[in-house]
Amino acid sequence: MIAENSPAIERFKANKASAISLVYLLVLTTMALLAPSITSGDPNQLDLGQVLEGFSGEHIFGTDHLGRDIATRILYGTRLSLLSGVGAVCFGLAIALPIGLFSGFVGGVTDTIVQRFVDALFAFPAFLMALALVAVLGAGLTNVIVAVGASTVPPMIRLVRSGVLSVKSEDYIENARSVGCSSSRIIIRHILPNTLGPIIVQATVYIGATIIAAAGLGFLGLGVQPPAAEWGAMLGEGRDYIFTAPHVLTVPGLFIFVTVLAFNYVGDGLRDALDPKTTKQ
Amino acid sequence: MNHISSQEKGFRVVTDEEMREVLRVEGLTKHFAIDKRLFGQPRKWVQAVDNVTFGVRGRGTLAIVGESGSGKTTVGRTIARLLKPSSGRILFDGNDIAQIDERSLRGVRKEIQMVFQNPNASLNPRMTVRQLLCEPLIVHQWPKEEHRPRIEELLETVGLPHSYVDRYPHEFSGGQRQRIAIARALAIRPKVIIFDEPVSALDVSVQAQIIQLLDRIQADTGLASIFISHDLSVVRAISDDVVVLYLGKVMEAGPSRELFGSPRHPYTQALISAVPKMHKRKSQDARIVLKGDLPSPANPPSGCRFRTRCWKAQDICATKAPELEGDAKRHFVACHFPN
Repeated sequence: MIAENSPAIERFKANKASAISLVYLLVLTTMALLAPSITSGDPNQLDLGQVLEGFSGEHIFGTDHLGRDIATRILYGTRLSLLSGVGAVCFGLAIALPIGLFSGFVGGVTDTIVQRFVDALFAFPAFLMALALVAVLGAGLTNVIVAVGASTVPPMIRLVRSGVLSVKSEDYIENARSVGCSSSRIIIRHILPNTLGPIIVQATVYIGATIIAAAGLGFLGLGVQPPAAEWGAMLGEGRDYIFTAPHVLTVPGLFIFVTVLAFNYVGDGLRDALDPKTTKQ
Repeated sequence: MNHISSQEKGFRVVTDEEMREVLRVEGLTKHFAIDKRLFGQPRKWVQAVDNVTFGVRGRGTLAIVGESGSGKTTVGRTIARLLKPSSGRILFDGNDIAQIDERSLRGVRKEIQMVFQNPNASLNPRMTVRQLLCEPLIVHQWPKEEHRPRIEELLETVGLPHSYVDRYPHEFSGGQRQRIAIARALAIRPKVIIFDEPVSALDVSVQAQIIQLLDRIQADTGLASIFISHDLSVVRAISDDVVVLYLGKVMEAGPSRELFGSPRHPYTQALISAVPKMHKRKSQDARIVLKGDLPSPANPPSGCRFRTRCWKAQDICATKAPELEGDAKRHFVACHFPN
């Protein structure tokens, strides 16, 4: 979509916070993917002789209450946290995109019915919805992705629909109709490419939110089940030691914080880069 | 600058084939609801187009002129069936296409194409020239091997270098974009093209080039066209027939030479006198300046719709709408006191 050295890329680069955030996320992702080659340790290796140790050369982020190496667990936890964040947004989009496109394009009574239904879903706070879904589906990575992803569906439908509405009245859609394009061709070739920008931006920001939601479920013990290393679960396990060994809780907390912030910055940067018309306040 | 071809057209011999109408609009009416409600029928309507009748001759150009709000664009969109007419007939190739469904429309869309006013908005910004020109061919199932030669041919027709095919619309000037839009409309060799104010968004110098291009294309391809415009000097240059619309109604219609030579309706006279002239006016064609604005189409005046701004208006104009009456020269006028 974006050509090499296009003004969009230049604008993105010019935004320092976004550029640094993107680099951070790329490094994080690479490390998560290459985790077994970076560390020889096992994230679930107990060492009851060395519990709640502080930072050291051997354990750079110390050890937790069962003597497990926190650095190794963070590294493996990145996989789960990023996967649940990205997975949830993809799942949400997969549902919201067709519904939003259809509802916005068809308009009229169909649109009204779909939107009132979305209104009803909006009445549930997103996290409560995820919580309820996990309660029904049960814990586990896939269910967390489905539950958190489903909680992003209502706002995503709105987002896609509003994009469709703003594009639908453009002259080039009329032009496509007068040329003789079918409705499906108009949606796929004309409407979708012109609404994708804001959708990508919002999806990036949502990844931050879904990571938090997934971590929240993990913290409550409803997410990925122990002993799997997951940031939220690590946070939850560490809360008993908040005064005796604060690093057990602080380190995963910091990673969640920085990673979510990075996704938000990248989202902001993308928005400014893709749409130069929005001026920064 | 806009009179390039009017002279030649004036002396051209009109053949029988050219006299034959390719498209005929009868009693075309389109109203829009203005108080859309969730349930029940709307109560307020705007008569955008009211009982409009005209015919487009083969190889000819029919111009629809009027102020903004006169319904001229609605007429164009209705004929292209981007809008469904409320009533009336649109006869094309002997078939009434006014109410046919979307599926049957596809065959019609192959024959009737449209060029829009603003070329900056009417081309999908995410498609290259190649994709824009290819799309009509794909939609109407042209054999794949004909796509490339046809695109080359089209670019040549509209005077764009072939090296531009992989560029996006934003890389072009307004005039070039309109050329692309024209090429897109021409792609599947339609019989009729509706030009909706195709030059009004362009610089005057570029306008002349596009008008010349349209003239040439029409001479080469024998296509009939409907040219919607508010610019009478442009209309005079390219049209064979003219329809003057005011608040959705036809005020005057007839062959271009007739209508410009001896306009009979006060409104037409006012429009023609508003065209800037190079030389000093003679006293008898002093400029007529209409008073007031176009009345709201939601609440048009009774009787003759033009009467509120007409200097000839009498009592009868408020009570009785004048009928459109024609003479032997196919010159029609709807006025109680025509010239």
